[in-house]
Amino acid sequence: MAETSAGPRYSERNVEERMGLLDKAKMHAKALSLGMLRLARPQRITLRYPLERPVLSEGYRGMIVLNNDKCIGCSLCARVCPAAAMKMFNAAPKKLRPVINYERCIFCGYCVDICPVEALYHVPVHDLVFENRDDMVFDLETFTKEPEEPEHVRKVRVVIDEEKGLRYVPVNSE
Amino acid sequence: MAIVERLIDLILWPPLFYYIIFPGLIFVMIFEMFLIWSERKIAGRVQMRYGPLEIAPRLAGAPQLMADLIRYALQEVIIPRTVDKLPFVIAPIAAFVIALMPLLVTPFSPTFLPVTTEGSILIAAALTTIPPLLLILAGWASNNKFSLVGSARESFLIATYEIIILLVIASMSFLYGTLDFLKAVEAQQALLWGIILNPIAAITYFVAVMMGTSRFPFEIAEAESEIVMGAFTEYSGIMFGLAMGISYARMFVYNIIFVLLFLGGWSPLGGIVTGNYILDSIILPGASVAIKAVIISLLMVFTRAVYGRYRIDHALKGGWGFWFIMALVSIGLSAAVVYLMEVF
Repeated sequence: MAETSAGPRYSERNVEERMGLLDKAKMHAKALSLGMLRLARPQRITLRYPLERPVLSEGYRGMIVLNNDKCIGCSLCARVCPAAAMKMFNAAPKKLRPVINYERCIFCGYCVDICPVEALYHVPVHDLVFENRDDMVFDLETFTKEPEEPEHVRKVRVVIDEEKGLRYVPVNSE
Repeated sequence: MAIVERLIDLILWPPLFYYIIFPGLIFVMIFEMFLIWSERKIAGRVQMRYGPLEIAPRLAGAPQLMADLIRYALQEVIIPRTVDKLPFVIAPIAAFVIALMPLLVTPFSPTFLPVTTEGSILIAAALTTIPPLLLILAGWASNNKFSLVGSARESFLIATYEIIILLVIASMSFLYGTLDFLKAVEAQQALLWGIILNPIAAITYFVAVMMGTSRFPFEIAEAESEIVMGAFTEYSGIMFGLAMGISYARMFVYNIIFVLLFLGGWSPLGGIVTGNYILDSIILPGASVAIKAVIISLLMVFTRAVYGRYRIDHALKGGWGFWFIMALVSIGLSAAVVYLMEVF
């Protein structure tokens, strides 16, 4: 038994050759006691998502919003869009404006990158719900408005913790 | 008012009370719901999750199992065209009923038992061996490859754990010199609890019961991630709920036997005399037996959070290569204890 602990641990394929009966009993006791410890002092890393939401990082590629005053109607965004989600249309005579179809959008952010006047920008929201598929095709009015945060949501900041793994620190919204 | 009194008399009539209310059907149903809920909560706590929480978060998701039960009860029972209908329908129902049958002879107090017999340990041990056969029947009748694989695995395991359980029960009845639960409990009250007299038998019985009622790490016959639900893959609706409850009902019955043979039966609360017949003969001893059985069951479901699943050959190797020998050793230990008691 002494030589099993000193010898190769995992090169032996067979468990019987790798560890004796006492070692196995020790392993079982170790696993069960760790389970009991976790039962007594739980370390949960579940984020209760719809009720708590993490603060998203800077430059998060969420939903896209158009600033209509800046837009010059160059239609570069519609050309670069790899999913053909962005389309140009005539908002007024000689005034092209983009609209987006979230059924197609893949949130690559090329349109935001390519915009020469920074009229398009991301907002840190990615989880809007639509009642039907027609609502996913935005018109100019919805496209220029930032989506609202739902109420009764606790904002938390995700912190990587060395002991626990992940920790959620509440953020005061005020 | 006469009708109400008649009804109360009927409900408190001992055979009916025993079969239907405690420790019969209703108690076992409540026990199962509590146990499945606590199994999920324990596994959640240990595995850094919450477990069921969506229904009534303040009660920690306790009504979840109620919701599940209602869903099972209202769902359509689909009987596929290719199954063998009669055994398909009979197997889970008969398995559930027969799984509860050993309660006929397991006493919950010196006076609270429906059938008084000299061979109650023998009858209980014999009746616990039948439900796995019906499980195999269900898999065979389902005409489905997953069901068949589950049945084959169960039939491999059954030979392993039944022999171990029967040997351990034999060793304990050898130790107490009786085949009657009442006398076994009396012997424990006179001397010591069986778990102290013969710890090897106790731990062997514990592991064999985990193997028999498909608890982790021996959840091989109904391995969800490999073979959908084992022998009960084709079942739906209330039949599936029943099939899911079979292993828990069997675990309850096995743990009642464990409490009676190893943990002194109604030992701590059963000795109290208050003068009230119902309190003295049913509630206090029954509660002590039931609470011990629930604690043992919670220990058994706790292993789900810790272990993975053994492969069938590993389980069989452990069963025949180690626990079978331990069962034989426990018989030797019983003989030694009996000899020592003779000497001193």
